[in-house]
Amino acid sequence: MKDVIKETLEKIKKEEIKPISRWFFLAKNMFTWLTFLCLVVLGIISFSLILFLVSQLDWEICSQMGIKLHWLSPVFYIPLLWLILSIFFALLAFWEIRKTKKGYRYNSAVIVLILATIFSVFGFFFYFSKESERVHHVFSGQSVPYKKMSELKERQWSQPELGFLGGIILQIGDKNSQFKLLDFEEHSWVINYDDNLVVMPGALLLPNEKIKILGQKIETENEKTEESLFQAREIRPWEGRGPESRNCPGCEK
Amino acid sequence: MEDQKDYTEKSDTELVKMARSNPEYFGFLMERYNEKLTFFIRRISFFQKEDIEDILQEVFIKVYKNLNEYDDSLKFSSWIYRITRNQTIDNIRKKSRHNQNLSLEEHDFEKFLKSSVNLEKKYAEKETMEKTREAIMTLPLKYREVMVLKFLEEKNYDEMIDILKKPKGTIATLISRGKTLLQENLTNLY
Repeated sequence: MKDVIKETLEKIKKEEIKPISRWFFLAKNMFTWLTFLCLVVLGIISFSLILFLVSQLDWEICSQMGIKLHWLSPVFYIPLLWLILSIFFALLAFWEIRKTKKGYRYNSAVIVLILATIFSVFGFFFYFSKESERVHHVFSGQSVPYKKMSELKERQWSQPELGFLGGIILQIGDKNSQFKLLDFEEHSWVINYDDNLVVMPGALLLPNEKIKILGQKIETENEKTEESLFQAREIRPWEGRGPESRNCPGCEK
Repeated sequence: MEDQKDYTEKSDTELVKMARSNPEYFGFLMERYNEKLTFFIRRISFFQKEDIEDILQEVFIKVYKNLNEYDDSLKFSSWIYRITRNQTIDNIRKKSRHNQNLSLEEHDFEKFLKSSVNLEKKYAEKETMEKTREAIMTLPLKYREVMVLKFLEEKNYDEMIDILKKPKGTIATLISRGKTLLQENLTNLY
C-alpha cells in the first residue's frame, strides 16, 4: 500500500513541479471571451445580411417575374447561406459561453434567448445603418461565386419583354420625359416616361444611378442608334423598393 | 511550517493560497481530501485499490499545477471533486474496465438503496446484496455518477452543478432516470 500524499509531495519536489502562472489562466479566460465576442459579431453581421437581402426582394412582383417562391428558390440561396451561418455562429457562441469559467451555470434557454436578442437588436442596427449593405458589396467584390449568386437579381431585371428592366442611367435627356440607360448586358435603352410615372423614394434620376424600371418594351432595336425604347411606369432604387411611392413629374431629379 | 492543529483550523481557500507558494501546505489539503476522494473514485469507477491510488496521485498533481486557476467563488471541494471526476472518467475510458469487480462497500449499498430508491426491504438484505451490486454496476456511468454524488457523497444541487458542469435541469433528469433504471435492473434480477 502506497502513501499517496507522501509520494505526491516527493514527486512535486523531485520534479520541481510548480503551479501554472495565473497569467496563463487569465489569458485563457480572456481568449474564450474574445472568441465568444468574435462569434457574436459574426452572427450579427450574418443576421443583418439576411435582413438586407430579404429586403431587396421585390416580393409583390416575383410571380410576374416568373419566380416561384419557396425555400429553395434561387433567390433564397444567399439569404439561406447567411441563415445557416447565423445559426452556426450562434451554436459556436453558445458552446463558447459554456466553456467560460461559470458558463455551465447558465440555463440553456436563457443563453439562447440572450443570443437571439443580441443578434436581432444589433442585426437590425447594422441593417438600418447600411453596414450590412457595405459588407454585402465587399463579399460581392471578393468572391466570384457569391457575386454570381447575387447577380440573380440582375438577371431578373433583364427581362424587358416581361416589363422588367434594370441598369445604370447614362444621361438625362434634354426633354423632361426621357433618359438613357445601360442594361446589364451592356445594351443601351431610351427610357420614356410621362406624368403618370411613379418614382419610389431612394431612386434618383441622375447619371450613374443604378435603378429598376417597371414598364413596357415598346420598340425593337433601332438599327441606326442601336438603342431600344422602353416606356417606364415605375422606377425603383436598385437596393430595395423604397418605403413609399410618389409621382415623378415635379419630383426632384 | 505550522503544526497540525493550526492547519485544521484553516479553510480550504486559505490553504490554497498558502500552497501556491509552498507545496508543504498542499500536503494538508491532500490529507483533508485523501479519504473522501478515494471513496468517490471507487464509487464511480469500481477500480481496485492500486488503480485508485494512481488516479488520486494524478488528481493531486493536476490540482497542484492548476492551483492558480482555482476561483474562490466556487467551493474548493466542488473544484477538486470535478477534477477527480474528470480524471476518473479519463481512466475508465483508457482502461475500458467497466466490468471490473465491484468494489463498493456494503454500507454504500445500503445507503444507495435506502436513499435513492423506494425499494422493497429484501433488496437491502445481505443475501441479495450481490445481485444488488450487479444492478448498480450495470447503471451507465452518467447515471451512476449523479447518484453517487447525491446519495453517497450527499452533495447538494449547487455543488453537483459545479462538479459535473451541467445545468440543474439535466442533473435532475439524470437522477430521476437513474432511479428508474436502477429499479428496472433490480426488478429484472429478482
